[in-house]
Amino acid sequence: MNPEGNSGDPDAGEPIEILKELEWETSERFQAQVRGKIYRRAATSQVVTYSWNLPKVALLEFARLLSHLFQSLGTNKEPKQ
Amino acid sequence: MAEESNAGFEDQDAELLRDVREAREGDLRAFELLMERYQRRILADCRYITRDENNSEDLAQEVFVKAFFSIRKFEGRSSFRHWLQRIKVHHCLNHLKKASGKNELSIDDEAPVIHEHLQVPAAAERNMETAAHRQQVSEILNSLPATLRIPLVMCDMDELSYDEIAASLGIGLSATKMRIKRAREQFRLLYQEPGMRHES
Repeated sequence: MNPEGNSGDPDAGEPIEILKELEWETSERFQAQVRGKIYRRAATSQVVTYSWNLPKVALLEFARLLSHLFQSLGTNKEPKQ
Repeated sequence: MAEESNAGFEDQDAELLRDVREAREGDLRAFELLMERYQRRILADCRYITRDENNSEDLAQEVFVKAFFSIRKFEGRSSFRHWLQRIKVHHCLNHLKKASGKNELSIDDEAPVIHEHLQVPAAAERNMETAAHRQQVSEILNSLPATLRIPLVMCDMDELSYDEIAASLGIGLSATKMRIKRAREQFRLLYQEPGMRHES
C-alpha cells in the first residue's frame, strides 16, 4: 500500500506514530450537512441535464403535435358526394 | 496482527462500498456508515494541512461529497482509505492555492516557532484519548511551517508514498524526503522533555 512509507523507516517510530491515530471530533450536524450537499448537487445536475435537453424535447413534441394535427385534418375530410 | 486488523477493516469498507453502489438513488445510509468510519480522521487532516479551523469542516464535508459522486470510478486498486485520503489531499491543496490567490501552491519556508509551553512533560499521561494531550499535539503540528507540516501530515497521517507526496506538492523526491525528515525532527524536538531540548 505504501512501499515508501514509514514502515521500517528509521525516522518514524515514537512519537511520530501518534500522528496515525490523530482525529478531530466532527460537529453533530456533519453528516446531515453532507447529505444536504449531496442532494442539492444531484438535484442541480438533474435540472441542468433537463434544461440542456429541453429544447430538443420541446421540438420533438411540437413535431409530433403537428404530425397528429395534419393526420387529423386528412381523416376528417368528408368524401365528396 | 496489525495487518490482520487492516485487512478486516478493508473488508468492511469493501462491503459498505458494495452497499453504496447497490443502493437506490437517494438512499445514503450505506454511505453514511462509511463516512462515520472516516469523518473524524478526514477532519483532523483538513485542519492540519490547511490550518484553517473555520473552514476545515466545510472542507471535510466536500471531500465526502466528492467521494460520493466519484465512487463508481473507484476501481479498488488501492484501499478505499487511501483513495479517500488522496481526494482529501488534493482538495486541501486546492483550497490553499485559492486562499493564497496564486495558481501554484507556495508554502513559505518560515522558520519554525518553538514554544516551551508546547512541550509535553515526561511525567504527563501520554494517552491519546485525553483532550489535553491531543490539543498539545495539535498545537505542535500547527506551529510547524507549511513546508514541513504538510508533507509530514501527508506522510505520517495519510500514509501516502514519497512519490505521491512529491507529485502532489510539485517538488522533487529528495526535497520531499528531506522535508519529512526535518519535520519529524522538529516534531520530536517539540515533543521532548524540557531538559533534553537542543537549540537548532
